[in-house]
Amino acid sequence: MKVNVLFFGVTADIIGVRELELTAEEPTTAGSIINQLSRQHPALANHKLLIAINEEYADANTVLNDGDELALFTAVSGG
Amino acid sequence: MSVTIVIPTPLRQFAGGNSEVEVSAATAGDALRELTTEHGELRKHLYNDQDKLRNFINVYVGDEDIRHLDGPATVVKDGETIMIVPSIAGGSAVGTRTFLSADLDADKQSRVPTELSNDEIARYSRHLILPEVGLEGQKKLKNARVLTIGTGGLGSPLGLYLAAAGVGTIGVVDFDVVDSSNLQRQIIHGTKDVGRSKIESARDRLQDINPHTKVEAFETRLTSENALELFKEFDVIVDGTDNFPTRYLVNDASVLTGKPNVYGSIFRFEGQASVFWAEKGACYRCLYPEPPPPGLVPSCAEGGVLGVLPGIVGTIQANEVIKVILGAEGILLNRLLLFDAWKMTFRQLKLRKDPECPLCGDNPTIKELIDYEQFCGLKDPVEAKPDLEEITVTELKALFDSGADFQLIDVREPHEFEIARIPTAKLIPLGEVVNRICEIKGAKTTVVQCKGGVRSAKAIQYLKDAGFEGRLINLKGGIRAWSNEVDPSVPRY
Repeated sequence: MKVNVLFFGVTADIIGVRELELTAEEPTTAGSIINQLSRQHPALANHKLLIAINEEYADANTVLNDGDELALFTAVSGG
Repeated sequence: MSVTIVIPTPLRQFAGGNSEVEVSAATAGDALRELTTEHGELRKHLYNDQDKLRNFINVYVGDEDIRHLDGPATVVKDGETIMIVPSIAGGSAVGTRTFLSADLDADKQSRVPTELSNDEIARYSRHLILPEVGLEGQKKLKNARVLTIGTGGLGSPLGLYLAAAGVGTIGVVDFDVVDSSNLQRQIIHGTKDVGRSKIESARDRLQDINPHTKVEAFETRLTSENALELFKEFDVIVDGTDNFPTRYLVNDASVLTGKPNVYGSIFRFEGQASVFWAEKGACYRCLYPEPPPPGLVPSCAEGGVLGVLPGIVGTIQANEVIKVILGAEGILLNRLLLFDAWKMTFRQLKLRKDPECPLCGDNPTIKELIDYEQFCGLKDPVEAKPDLEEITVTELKALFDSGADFQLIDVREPHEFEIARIPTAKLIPLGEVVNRICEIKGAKTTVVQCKGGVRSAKAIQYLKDAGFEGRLINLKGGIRAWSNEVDPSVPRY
């Protein structure tokens, strides 16, 4: 199945793009997608990532469906 | 008859924290009796031993003091508003305000029923003809007390629009001084203000925009010691700070005092905004239970920020503040707005109050303000890496002058290297140091440098972790210190 992953803030810096389409085995959770990404981009694992699935705040155990949009972001402090 | 009694700030603590209480009564006296029956603690503040209204308590029906009408027997109409106004002379008896640096005077403590002058009617005419604002709404704005934390990138547009919109009292908290590097985005300050205190500069500008707005300036750092007392005096809190400890402090103090916290935050080209209001929805901790590890998310000073970005996010905050005051529906509650100025996209994420939230959840464990520096991991001594060798810029200069054989590695980004550099420095950006480790000669002493000394310390850690065995020395204060102390001809950025 395919998942569209969006990166915000520091996560975009780490991955190098702001959007990525990933293919994953079913069933897949948001957490396993993050693990998959962290293997290629170890710096990702340093961050407390926040997750939104289809524009709704979610946690890492949430199971994804084909075509879901997964957004990863971190807190930012600038002002 | 259903009437609304408006409770002044100092008395709200005795009325369950309510700013307004609705009661059913035919006269002003009955209405106050109803109120004190519902909130027994208020009785001794309103009535003396002879059961008479205390002489420093003024009661207004409509726009008139009931002493000029029929006293407690003054008839109230259905839907009418009764205001309790502690008088100026006696104000301190009901509400002590001990906040130190506030330049308050007594008349700001009480809320006299608001009327708009002809001047104000002309000034706010574009609001007044909006049914959603109108005269009532404009009076609400005039009565409102909004506290803005920070007069930086977010606080600038926010303050300007709140003053322009006719918010009656704007509190501003800042302790910083205007620097020329602020002017790219902090539009409340001008070139002539460089070197002045931000609070003074902001006050002048706000007063110039709207002399009807009272500006209460607090030239202080917001701390766990002063936040609650300060927040209690305001209706809406706006978070325009630039660091995580203060953001958690603002959130916690807002929740503990029951105030809405209108939040905005920025990073390079991206902004976030929301209204956190524990009584009605999620708080900041429901979204971000824990702060990121220190140093992982760059600040604006480290990561840069598009100047117009805080302008957009700050005006979104101003918009939400005004809606909160007007009691509008559709405030940014339980939603996190994510704005990307580079892609020009707005997205919003649905948030929910977290029942497990340690602050506003079902079983809160945080009941008072804590040490936020510690909470955010900033008190763990950075010098926890005892093996980090450092030199100052003057020592580096001496090294150059002595003709010592060493290499200087600059771990900033190429665009920063373009702006300014220290002679002989070789550029290897932080993200590449490990991959390009072979370009650093292990046999030579290596001084590592960045803009301020943080990234270079990280680079040294990365190199050591990667097995680099040569001598690595961190340049304290980076190229900024070099420019300040050794060679002023190197531009500061």
